[in-house]
Amino acid sequence: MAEILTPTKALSVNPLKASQPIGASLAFLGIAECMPLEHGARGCTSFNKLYFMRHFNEPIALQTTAMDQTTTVLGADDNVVEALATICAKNAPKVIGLVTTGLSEMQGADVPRTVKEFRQKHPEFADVAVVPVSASDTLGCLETGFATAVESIIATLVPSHPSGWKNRRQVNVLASSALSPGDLEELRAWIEAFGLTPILLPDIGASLDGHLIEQGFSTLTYGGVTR
Amino acid sequence: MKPEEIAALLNEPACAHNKKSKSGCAKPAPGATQGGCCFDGARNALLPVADVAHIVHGPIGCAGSSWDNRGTRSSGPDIYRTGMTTDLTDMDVILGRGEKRLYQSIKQTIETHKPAAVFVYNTCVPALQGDDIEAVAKAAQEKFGVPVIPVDCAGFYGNKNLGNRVAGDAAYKYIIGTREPEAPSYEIPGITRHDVNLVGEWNVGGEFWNVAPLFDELGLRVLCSFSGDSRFAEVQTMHRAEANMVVCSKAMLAVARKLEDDYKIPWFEGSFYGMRDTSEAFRNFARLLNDPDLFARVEKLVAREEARVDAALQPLREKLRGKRVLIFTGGYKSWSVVSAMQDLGMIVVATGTEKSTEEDKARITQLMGPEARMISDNDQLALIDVFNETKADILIAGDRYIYPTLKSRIPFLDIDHVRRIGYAGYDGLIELAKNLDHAVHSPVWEQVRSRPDWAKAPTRPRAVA
Repeated sequence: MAEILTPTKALSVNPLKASQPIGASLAFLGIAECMPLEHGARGCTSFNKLYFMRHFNEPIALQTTAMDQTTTVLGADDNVVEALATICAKNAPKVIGLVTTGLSEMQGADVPRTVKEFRQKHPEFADVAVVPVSASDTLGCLETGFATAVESIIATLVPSHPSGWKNRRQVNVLASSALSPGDLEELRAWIEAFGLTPILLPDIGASLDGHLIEQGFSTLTYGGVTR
Repeated sequence: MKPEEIAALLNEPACAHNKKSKSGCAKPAPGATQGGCCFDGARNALLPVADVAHIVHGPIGCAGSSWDNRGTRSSGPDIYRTGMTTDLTDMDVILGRGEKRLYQSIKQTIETHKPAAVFVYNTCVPALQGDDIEAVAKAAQEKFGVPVIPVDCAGFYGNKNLGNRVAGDAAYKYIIGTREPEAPSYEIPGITRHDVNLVGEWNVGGEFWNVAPLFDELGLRVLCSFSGDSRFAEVQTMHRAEANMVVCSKAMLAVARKLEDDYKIPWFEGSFYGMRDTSEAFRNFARLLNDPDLFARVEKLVAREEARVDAALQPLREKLRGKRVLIFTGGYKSWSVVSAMQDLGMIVVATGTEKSTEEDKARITQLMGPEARMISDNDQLALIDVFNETKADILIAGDRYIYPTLKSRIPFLDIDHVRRIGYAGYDGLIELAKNLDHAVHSPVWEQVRSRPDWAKAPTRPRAVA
């Protein structure tokens, strides 16, 4: 059994650890026509975007609520509503992943309530799903952020009262954050070889595998598991 | 940092942007914002100081995915590439242990890595918590006898540009003027030596090394290239230069202006991109230093180098002549890169003016004619539309356009500061031409643009922009 050691040194040198928000955003990158939105200062998003871009060699859909000094002190709920509305109007996604960061968590942002406010103010975007994820930088790491996001995706997007009909050939696969796009493609092929229909959640193999699409460039994800 | 301190940093009398009625940068739009934060800008500006330990005081999000992410190179020590962070956890925040942890981190750094100095970067969480990093830095410096420089640059203060300014301000406040330069190790007989500084030169991909030998040849000693391949001790002596050159960086103007105000050091803005600009930079040094002998030697050097580059470029010019190029950069580069492209005989169909001043735009008109098309919108889809409209052959832009462009099956050349190839100086122009040739003539474009036999007719409509 693995033992988790808590470091006793004050300084972390060349850390091989990434933050919760980046993990949560990664989960959303495996959902089709999705835009992850990080609720924090714009640097969080900029760093994470660059990190993924370098790693996957792909354009990365990621936006920020761009908190500044005023909104950090006086409350940034309006930023969240504005950002959600802007993304809906500009990019027309099917799903928005609303991920908090160290800054907004520390400020005490109440994201579920803000989403309600957005629903009241913008009924025209009712068909866009918003999946809130609480992911502070000061806790956990990429893996825990990823897991929290997957949990939240299931809680928000899977209907709570399923209809009686069941697809007996469908297999649900909860893919870990350690799997690369190539791994997921292989997994899909294996499962399909048994005559089964896999649903991979999230499926970065369909979005970050470097394929070209007819329209060229998209501001959203290039594929992934559909809603 | 207080709001009035931020306002003071944004007010830069030497900057041409300042004269416009709308000063500073616009408020970011939530959900439609690109670019980094204040911390990003500040660390970018100071990270190239090579023999310094850079500690990021904050949770893992700030440094975890961004340490060692710059292409700046060092000719000696490489401690700047070591990622160091206090990695604040929930418990540190709840129990208010941030300051203590920072102090211990500085101690650990000095004991294990023995850096020339320690730079401490503040981030959002400790700033909101109220950690006094200035006090911690002061206490640590007194205790351990190594300079500890606080850089108060929490991300929510503003954008990357503000971060650059914060970095310049910190350097000026704590470092510059704290040491006298040593006597040079050699003198060229018969030549008067001059000491100069470069401000805002990052040695990306080692590109300053294309120009450095020419400085030596002219008897110009670079006291400090702030901050590409610099040492802490060099930054300390910047106040003793006779002339400063601000390289492609509006955000660093304050450093040059303050050096002029306090030490009467004249300065000019220049660039090492392209043949014309490189030559002009050396001439400007001669002019500012008011040395006729130097002027004559500069002219000789320029003639020799330009002839050499011309010869080397000849075969590449043949290949690139008449190619249509779309440039999307900001500020100074919007026209300095234009002149580099024209040096190669290429046609510049449009250039971006996102962060350019009226002065920059006037230079563009002068270079490209009154019909010059300028793009101020930074929307990626719109840019690709312009590319198709103008029938361009290649797009030149910063790194955030790489993959959108490649997905659109468009040849692309990266000139961002995170690239690892140097394009500065005379040799840089040759390198640039080679890379342009490779990008434009790569056989991959034909392949991705043609439809394979097995592909069906397009069914997907274009997404809403």
